[in-house]
Amino acid sequence: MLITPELQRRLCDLSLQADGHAFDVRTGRGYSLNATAVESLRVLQQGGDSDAVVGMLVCRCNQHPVVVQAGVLHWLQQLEGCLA
Amino acid sequence: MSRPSQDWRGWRVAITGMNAKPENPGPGAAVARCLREAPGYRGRLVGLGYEALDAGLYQRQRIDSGYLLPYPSSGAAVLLDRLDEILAEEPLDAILPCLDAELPNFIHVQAELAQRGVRLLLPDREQLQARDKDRLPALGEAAQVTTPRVRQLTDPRFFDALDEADGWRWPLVVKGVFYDAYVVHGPEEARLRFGQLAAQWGYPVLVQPFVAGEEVNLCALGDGQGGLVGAVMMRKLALTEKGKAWSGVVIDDPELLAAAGRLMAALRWRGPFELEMLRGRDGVLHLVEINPRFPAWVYLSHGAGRNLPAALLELLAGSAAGSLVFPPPRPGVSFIRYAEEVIVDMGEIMRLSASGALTHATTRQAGTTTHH
Repeated sequence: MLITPELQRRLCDLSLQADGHAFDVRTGRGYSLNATAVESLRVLQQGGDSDAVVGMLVCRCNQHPVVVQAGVLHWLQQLEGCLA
Repeated sequence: MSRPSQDWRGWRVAITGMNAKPENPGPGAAVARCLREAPGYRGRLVGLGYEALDAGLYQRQRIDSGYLLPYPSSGAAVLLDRLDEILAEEPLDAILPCLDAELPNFIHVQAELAQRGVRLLLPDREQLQARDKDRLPALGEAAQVTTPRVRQLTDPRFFDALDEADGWRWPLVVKGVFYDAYVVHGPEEARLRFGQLAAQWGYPVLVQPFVAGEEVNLCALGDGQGGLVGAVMMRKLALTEKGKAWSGVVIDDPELLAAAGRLMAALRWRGPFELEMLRGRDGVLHLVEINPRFPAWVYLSHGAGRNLPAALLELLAGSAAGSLVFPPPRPGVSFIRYAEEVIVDMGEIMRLSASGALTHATTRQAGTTTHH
């Protein structure tokens, strides 16, 4: 999934805490992220794309890339909806 | 006559808006709290109220004395006479009006008060009228800010048969000229609220289409040159029955800030203000209201490191707007409001009712305050 410049900006609006709490500084909404989402969001906030997230999770979770890719796509769509 | 001090930290400042009803408190007590907690402030704070039960007048830890004012409907001349009585008791360096209904009178007497050495930072009459609720669509168009249409009503029969072809459909928002707004879903409810608003605030009653969304507010100072000073943005987390913020969180919304900048450039506003905007479900920001004074949640500005009442005094003391230094906004700083009783001797209430004046015998020294 392509990370558009607007989505990239919005991802950087999330102030991420180590405990998984993410605060959207633009809207004031708060979110809870599990450990996998925290690691994935950090990759995106550092400029990585969805392939970088998949690659990181394939290594970390020892799962088939197709499985990981489907999960990451679903999560990105959820994230995009929250940040819209 | 000695030269007036330019060090605002020692000023004697009067603040209105001392009513503190839990569901809809006035801003005055919060403004007083901001000034009392501003680093270095050691001056005297005077509360100005309209009712003997305005709780802010009795907050000894913040207010040194209190006086009652005549209701705004008495007019500017009566207000000036009363202020002269107060000035004879205690000279003032500045007055911070905090209520919409009194602003026209304070604007009217601003020049006379300046001759008496009392400073105010207020818009002029034209600026005040330009942000009237029924004129917001024109202002919004000038500033390229989306604004719901407004219709003035003097006849509640408007609600009996909405002109859907003209875009009027349920639900609607009915508003008083100065305060209060209700979402209404049908003719019977609308007529009830229309009657309540007309009885309390007079005619006309205003009606707007309802915009579903999240309310986001911005508080700042206008520098009178079209510029914005010290913006603090807030999203409401919890509301009272009247829709006032009971809890809120600082946000950093570039689009909201830009809209505020355009509105200030269009208005060339001078003094404190609050923008009430709605981010609709379509993501569009809609202008709901421009309040011409600090909001009741202004203490959050102190919590966010941008003490706006203190900044206002700095401007009155002659600092250039561009010279004021504010730390970056602190998204995530939140407030939760609570209601607290002030224990007062009945004699104080009676004294204030009878004489219109109340003085708290208080000694303030650096770091300590002793109440008598």
